[in-house]
Amino acid sequence: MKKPNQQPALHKVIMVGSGGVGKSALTLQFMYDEFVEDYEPTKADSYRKKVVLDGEEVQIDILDTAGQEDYAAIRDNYFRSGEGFLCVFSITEDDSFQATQEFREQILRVKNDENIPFLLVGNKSDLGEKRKVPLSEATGRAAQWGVPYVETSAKTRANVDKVFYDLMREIRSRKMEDNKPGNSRGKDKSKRKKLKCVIL
Amino acid sequence: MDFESPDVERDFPGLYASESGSGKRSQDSDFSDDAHDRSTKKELLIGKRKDKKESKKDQGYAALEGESSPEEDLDVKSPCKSKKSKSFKFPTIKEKREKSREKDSKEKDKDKDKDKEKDKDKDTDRDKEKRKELKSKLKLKDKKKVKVSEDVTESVEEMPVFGVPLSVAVDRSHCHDGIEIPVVVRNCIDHVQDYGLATENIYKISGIKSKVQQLRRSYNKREMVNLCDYDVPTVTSLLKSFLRDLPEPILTTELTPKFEDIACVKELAAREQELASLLLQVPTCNLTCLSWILRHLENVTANESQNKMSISALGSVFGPVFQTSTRVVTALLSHCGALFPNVKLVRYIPPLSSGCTSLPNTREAIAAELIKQDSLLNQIHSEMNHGYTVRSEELWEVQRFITLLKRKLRSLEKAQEASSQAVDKVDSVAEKSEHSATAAPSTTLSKIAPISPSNDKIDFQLQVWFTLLSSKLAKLAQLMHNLYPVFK
Repeated sequence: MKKPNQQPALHKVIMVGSGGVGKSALTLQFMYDEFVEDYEPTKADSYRKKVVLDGEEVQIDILDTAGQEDYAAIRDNYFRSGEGFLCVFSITEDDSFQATQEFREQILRVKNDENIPFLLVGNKSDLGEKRKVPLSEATGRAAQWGVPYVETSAKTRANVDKVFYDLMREIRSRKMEDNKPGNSRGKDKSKRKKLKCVIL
Repeated sequence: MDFESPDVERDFPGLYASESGSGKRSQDSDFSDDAHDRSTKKELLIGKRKDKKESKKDQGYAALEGESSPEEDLDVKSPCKSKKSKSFKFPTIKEKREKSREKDSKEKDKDKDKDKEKDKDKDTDRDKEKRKELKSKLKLKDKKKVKVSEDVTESVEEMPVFGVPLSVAVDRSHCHDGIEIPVVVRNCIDHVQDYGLATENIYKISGIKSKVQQLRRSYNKREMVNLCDYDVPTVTSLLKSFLRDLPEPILTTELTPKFEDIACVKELAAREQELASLLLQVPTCNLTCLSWILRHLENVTANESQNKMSISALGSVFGPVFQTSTRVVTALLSHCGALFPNVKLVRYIPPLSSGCTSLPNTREAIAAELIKQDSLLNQIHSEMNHGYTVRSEELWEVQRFITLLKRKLRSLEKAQEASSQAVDKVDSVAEKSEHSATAAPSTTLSKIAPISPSNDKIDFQLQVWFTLLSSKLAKLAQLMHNLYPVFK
């Protein structure tokens, strides 16, 4: 595409997680400062917003995917083009936390990259009294994956901006790494290794 | 068969030795080192033995041949073959060829008749067989090569629309308003309908080849094409080239001869009826495409006074394009109105591009646009699932546009709901004040809600469903149309 070259940098973020954990709520809160109470399953939605990231104007593309398995077939197509992922679960629902493991694996499989920008997000932090997923367990899994863990509330807007901005920063630094010529830490190591194997 | 030849040699030793000996003296220089040593009469007998060995060698080659590659076989066999044919003196080469030809047809009979030449001829037969095998192998190789090169061109234009079966072309680039014909055909028809009907000798004059090629490439790559940038002959040539390049005639290979037969029927009513019943057997996507093109060509002939294209003139142009005769096209064209009474040319309005800033304003328009965008999105998904990844950018754009449309639709609905609630409130107020349920809305609220709002909402939902249903129904009708002869 020609346009993005002239326009500010574009970062592509994908929301993943089980159904009903609040992916759309987080997205809509970030995009339009609105909180939607009534639940309506998403098939797929995409948004674009201009934001100022550390003094630089950038664009963020957010793809809000379906949590339901029904749409798994089209999910790969989206995952492939994503640059960063917000993996969301509800702290009030253990199943949704367990499901993050599968989403993580699916993303790594499609992207073939261990270091893809990725945040583990525990949503519905305003419902602390209904908490089912202990903080320690969530931080433990995040540490195991080597990704940050943040708790948010789409209702109160707590940490909503933070997760999007943190992810954008990761994507940005990742892109800068990739663009450095001759940088061995650049674009996914696994691919480089593969190339070497072919040559040998 | 292979073990027979030594026995035959034993029966006729002198003959065999002298033949092969003399042959070797003159010809065999490159095949074996021993050949030249056997020039004296003394060595004739030895030569005979060696011949035995050699014939076994030949058999060895024959046995190996299946496993070695065709090129090797060629190299190894050609000297041996030439030796054999030249070493055999009694029949001339011509005679022998005739014989071996005869053998090809009546192999076994000949074998019994001619004991003397049996093994020799067998050898030549074997050689022939080998050559045949070689040829077939080479052909196979050639085919593989062709396939590979096709793959290469396909990877350049990953999922072409031109030169593929019509159903594939429709799958890859169909119109998103429910009319299942390739976009390129629809665009060409629209363009000629708009700008070309008065063009003199339209469809007869060819466009600029390079421009047609350029357009083909653009369509194959699904690039945005604006046919208004091109002249009418280029567009007509584009349409013709699409149809001509279909691997199968649009009337199908199977049915084309039947159409030829019917086209010869003199009596018009009978011809029309037979054409109609035969068209039922044409696959749906071919029939849809054909009907649109014929309806369009009918419009062209309707303007004959301006464009000078009569039915027969168009027939002679489109005969080769449809890969059939002029007569068939002329017949179809002259009965066009009766054959396709329900086909009406509708200008194709493609899905709005995602860069578009002015969204449709009414709920009906938004809903109709959403159906188109969904169809577009599905197509992108299916292409991506087939490994056509170029469009991932478009995927996000279309998705974003759909989200935008959905949001607008929802906000319109909410506004409507809110206004309807307001209407209800004012309604009840009006009822109380005027004690009249019917007069109030029409007088005080006609600007806000011309129709009863709740009904309006139902109407709208119905409309959305109706649009969906009607497209499904159209498909079903066509399916039934095709199945009709079966029931009959």
